[in-house]
Amino acid sequence: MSRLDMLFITAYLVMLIALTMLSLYFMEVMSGQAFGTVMGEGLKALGDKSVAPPVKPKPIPPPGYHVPNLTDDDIKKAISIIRSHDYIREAIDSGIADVRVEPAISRVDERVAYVLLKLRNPVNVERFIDRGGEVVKVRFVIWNSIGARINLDKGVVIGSLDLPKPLTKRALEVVLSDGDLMKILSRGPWFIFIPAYGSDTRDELGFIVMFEKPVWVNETVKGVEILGWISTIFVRVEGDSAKITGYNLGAPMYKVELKGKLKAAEEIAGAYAKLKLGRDADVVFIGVKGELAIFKADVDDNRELVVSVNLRILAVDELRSGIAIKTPPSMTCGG
Amino acid sequence: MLSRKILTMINIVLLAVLLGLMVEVALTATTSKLTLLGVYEDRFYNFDFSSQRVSNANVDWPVTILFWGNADDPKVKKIYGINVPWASSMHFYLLDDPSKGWEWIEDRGVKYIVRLGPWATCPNPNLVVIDFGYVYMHMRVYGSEHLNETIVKYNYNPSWGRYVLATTHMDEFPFERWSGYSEIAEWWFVVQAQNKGYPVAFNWAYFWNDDMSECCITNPYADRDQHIWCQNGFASAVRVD
Repeated sequence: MSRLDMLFITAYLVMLIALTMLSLYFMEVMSGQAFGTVMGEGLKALGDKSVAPPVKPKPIPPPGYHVPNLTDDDIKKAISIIRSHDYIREAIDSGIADVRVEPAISRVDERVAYVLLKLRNPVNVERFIDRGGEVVKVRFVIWNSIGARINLDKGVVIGSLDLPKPLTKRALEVVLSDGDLMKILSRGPWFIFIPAYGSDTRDELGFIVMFEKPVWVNETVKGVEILGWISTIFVRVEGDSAKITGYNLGAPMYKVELKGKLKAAEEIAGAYAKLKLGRDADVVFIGVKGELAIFKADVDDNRELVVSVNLRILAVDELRSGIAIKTPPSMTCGG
Repeated sequence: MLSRKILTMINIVLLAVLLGLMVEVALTATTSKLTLLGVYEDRFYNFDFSSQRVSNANVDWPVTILFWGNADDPKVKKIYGINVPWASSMHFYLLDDPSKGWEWIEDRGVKYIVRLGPWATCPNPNLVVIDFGYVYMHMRVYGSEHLNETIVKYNYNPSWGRYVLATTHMDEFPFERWSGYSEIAEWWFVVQAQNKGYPVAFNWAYFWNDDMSECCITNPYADRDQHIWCQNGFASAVRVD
């Protein structure tokens, strides 16, 4: 290859690349797509009156599936099947705002209905569970709705969005048989809040154990260091084991009236005094200052224990609590 | 003589390499959002497919725009004008006329090089702004084939009139190392039509193909399958008379 050929090849390559870049540039310019301009105009025009087709598309069952027509008997049957779950029956009886039974996409050889129960308010479902002679009260809360797919031919629930029963029972058994967890849970009345993602088919369940009043914990439980007055523990059950995934300090989320708060605060102050002094001690309510309820307990003639409980979060206010020197008796001068 | 042959060979190889770099690589993707949609007697899927096989593991991009009123594919493509010649075809499965039955429609669409610049792809929970620089905007248009003087593609139903459905996405420029962000591409194509006087309705109807799972990735180049899902499931409508 001569030097001239080499020169020609190089020039040709340069020209080809330049032409490609140039053509790309022109294609952009010719299509008038300078985006900055387009974006500005587009945003300005967004307020214009929209023109849209009157009908929107709907999903259609794929081949091999259909949406069955439901008779009144089917609807009654669907409700009867869902009522056979005792938790659901209690929820229904506690106050249902709306029951909806709709045909659901089914295989061609079966008929499936979807039942949705909308609740007016969260429904408490209480249970007493016998643990080898010791009866424990457990309360489930179903937040706002229960939904389930029901096979009308087989008369069974084939999948649910938030039916709490099967997993909760199993999960509860796991919790109740867990010595470490129960060591904490036995410190005060507690109940379980069920999050909305329990399922018949999931093999794990996360939920919240909530104490009716905060309990004092200062230890490592199942590998989690907990220090303070805790109101809730987040638990996840996987298979046959439970683990703590978190906890909340302070008061539970439910409302407590002031009277109840003071009573709860007194108990908290008493428990704190016992912890500090190593013995039972009567605490006396002194008064409320701001958010704080102040309690005192005599330690000896010269000292007293002051316990301030924050009423907003129902937890001991550590900054204001502690042993204080009593005010010395007033001195009198004899003559 | 020998040097001329070498020169010709180099020319051919060079052209092939240049074009090859720019030809879109068809990447098959998987979605859990594939479903059949219906309006009157018409049926269509809410994604297009990489080949003539209906499978949620064989999808390409979501349907994001409806051109309706009196639309067909030449009219729609004419809105956007001259475009780059390299774009791969994809497939759409639809039932427009029961007497014709189900049809596979193929289209390579229209594709443009656009300077997009910085774009907030993820407002929540953490703001993600990606400086896209130059990108390809690619839209494929599907309708049942009708033979007039040439083949014209459109569907018909009493509510939408003559209509075509479009899938949209962006590709990295120039090597297409990633593709996706259908929502941004939908917006861009709808704005183009709006600026040319076509009445539009942004995010008009839910098409059950939402997937925002990858809107918040900070580096599209690092996406494992280079197929970035970012669409809100609501298709826009553009009226074409």
